[in-house]
Amino acid sequence: MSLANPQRDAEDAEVLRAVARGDESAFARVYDRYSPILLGLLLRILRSRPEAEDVLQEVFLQVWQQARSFDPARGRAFTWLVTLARSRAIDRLRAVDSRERAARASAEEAPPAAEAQVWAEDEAERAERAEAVRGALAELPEEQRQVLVLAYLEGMTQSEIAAAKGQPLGTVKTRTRTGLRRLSEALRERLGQQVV
Amino acid sequence: MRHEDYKELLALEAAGALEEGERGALLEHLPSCEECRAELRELSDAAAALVYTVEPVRPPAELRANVLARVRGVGPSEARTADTSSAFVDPSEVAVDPSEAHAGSRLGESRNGGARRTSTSTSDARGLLSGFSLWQILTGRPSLGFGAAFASIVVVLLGVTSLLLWSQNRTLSAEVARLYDRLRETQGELSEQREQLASARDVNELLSAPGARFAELSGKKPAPQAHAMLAYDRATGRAVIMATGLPPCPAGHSYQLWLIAGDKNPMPGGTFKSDASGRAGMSDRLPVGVGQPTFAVTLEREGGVSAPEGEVFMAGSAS
Repeated sequence: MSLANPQRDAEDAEVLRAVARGDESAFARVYDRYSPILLGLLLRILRSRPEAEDVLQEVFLQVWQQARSFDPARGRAFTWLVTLARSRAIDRLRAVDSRERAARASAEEAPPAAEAQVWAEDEAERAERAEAVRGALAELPEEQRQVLVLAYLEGMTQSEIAAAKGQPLGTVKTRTRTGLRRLSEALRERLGQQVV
Repeated sequence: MRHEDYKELLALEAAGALEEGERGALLEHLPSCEECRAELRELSDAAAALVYTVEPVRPPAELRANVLARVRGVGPSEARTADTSSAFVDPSEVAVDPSEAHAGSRLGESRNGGARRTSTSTSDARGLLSGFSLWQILTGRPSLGFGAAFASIVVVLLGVTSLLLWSQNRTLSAEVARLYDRLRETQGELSEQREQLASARDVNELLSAPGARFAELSGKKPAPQAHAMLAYDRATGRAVIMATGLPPCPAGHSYQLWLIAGDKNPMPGGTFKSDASGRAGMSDRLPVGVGQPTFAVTLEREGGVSAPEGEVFMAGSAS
């Protein structure tokens, strides 16, 4: 299986090192490879296309300025990029009036399927990984899966999740913790030693 | 906190769900604990993997152009890449406001301008005052009434000086703004030339690639006079298209290139527009490895679509 792809990781790390040296074409490669998946994430968190695109630009400018601070010993390039993007999106989300957030959440502005597109060469690999992650996620009990998705992909705080679900904060925390550990194990089982 | 307590926090941190207080404590613990770092890394990778369940969305081509233009010629700033003590990376701590980064040179310049101006004026004032002392020495010891006269002269001088400063400030700010605009213009021209050079190089490389294939695209019903030449390297997916006779794009629309392998669904390529003379050109990256490709150009919504919806303007197969 090519899912756990150490080669891809090494290549990504190398490309980010080139970006840190100011290599513009390496930067374009990072953009081409990861902008669709990051825009998908930003749209999921922000539920507004203009804002998601705006934050995407900020994220890539930050990648350009801070590629030097990426350390492969501390994690994969993909994780680094996702962490940057997610954190930017959440900063933006927190800045938005809470009433508007509620309105957006109910609007559920999911990206239309026709817009979901990436270059075919990366798409096959991404689809394969997505399949593995969905499989691993399906092994989790429903309530653990839910808190993980709400926390990580919706950007909700633990207290917000507790309030929304009408559950004690401690329960939400335990579920997040247990859920993520299980997910990590399930991914490892599926993909061998390397996490996705 | 004991080591076990920190371990409890790792999954929450990786899930992006740790409250600020606990987070600070964990970040202090991490540098001294290899075990926690390794575990956090694994959990962070697992959390990030969740993103694979989200449908990717291709950003519009303008956004790419905009991002690339904004980094062009601006090296990654060392000052802004200071490492953080964060668990993985904490962008909020090292966050850079891009508008600030972008305007950085401008702010710096005007600050410098300000500093320069102030020092000039200070020396001016000092000159005036020392001139005054000289005058005072020449006229002998000041009388009692002289203190009041002295004070009022100083007040008047200060008033005049601040007026001078204010007008100088305005002139200098205007000049800084003008120079900044010039700089931007020059940078813009430079990057445009670089782009042209890069695309010329791309075309050269592509035309001389051993696996390059060429296709002639002929005009279809909406534009029978349209015509294009296309080169495609199946090994790298690199493609270049040059077209003539294309009608101007209606507002909100652009032409889109498609790669078709046999009877499979067309695979989307990039979008482009024609100029006033009906010419258009684009350098693109298409899926690799298509042996007997057919190409088509359709008119689509601006930014492109994933499956063709609009009318076919040109089509042709590789020879």
